[in-house]
Amino acid sequence: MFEQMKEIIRNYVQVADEDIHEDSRFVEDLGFNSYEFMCLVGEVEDVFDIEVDEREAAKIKTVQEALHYIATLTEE
Amino acid sequence: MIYACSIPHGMGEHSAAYTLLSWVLYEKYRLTGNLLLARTPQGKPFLRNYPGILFNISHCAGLVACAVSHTEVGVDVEKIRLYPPRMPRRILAPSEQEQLLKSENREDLFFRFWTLKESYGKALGVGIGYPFREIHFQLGPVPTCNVAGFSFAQTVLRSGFILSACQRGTEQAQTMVFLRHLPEQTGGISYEYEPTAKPERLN
Repeated sequence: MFEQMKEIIRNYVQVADEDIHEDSRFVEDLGFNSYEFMCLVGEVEDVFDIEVDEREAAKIKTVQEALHYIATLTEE
Repeated sequence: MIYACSIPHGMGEHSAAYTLLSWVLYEKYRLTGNLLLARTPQGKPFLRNYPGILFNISHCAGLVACAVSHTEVGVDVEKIRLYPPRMPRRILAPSEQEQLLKSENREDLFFRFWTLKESYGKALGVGIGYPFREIHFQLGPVPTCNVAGFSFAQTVLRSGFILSACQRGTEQAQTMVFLRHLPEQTGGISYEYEPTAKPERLN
């Protein structure tokens, strides 16, 4: 899932694959703005076949938190 | 009041945004010196010692915007560009998706909707943390929506940028001013975050 997430991230920001870590923060480290993050949310929903609650998405600050959130939805 | 301008070459967007804010705070309120910034629980910055002065900033692709008001305010600027095909169903209400399908300039219309919704979320202080599809807009000289208690303003800037702003209240005070260049720092304003507030990435 982490590799899939890295691929999705690189669709929206210019960052090298090796510079994306599980503890990378979307805004401060990867340079996401709100629009790009929402685009990422949309792609994550399609790729993992989940529906993301925006209020929960707004709490996600790191790649690890995103992966954890996806895992909770896909395990249901 | 909303101000926007181009960012000087070589200057970071975030730094430019706070330079613009400093100019507004000095020119409009005569604030000077070191200003203490705090953050709401949701992360929105505010001036700790000036609760009656609320602000919001936005920057995108060489443009910066700043809104300052006595009530909650949000501003968003975006460059009109292609959007991912999934985005309309992700963020637009059904009525807005219908308008988009009928539009001859879908990119323009999409970002009109996006920036309005984003400005609303920023005024609330939650950013994208609310159900985007539950608010729907009617565009026009003065955009309106199904949520009461907020006023909106929107303009298309040169070179294909859309600037939208939201303010709590029904007062139509959304004058937008585009400055020819970023004003110089005035008032000797600098910012300091409260120890408990996480600093933003300053360029």
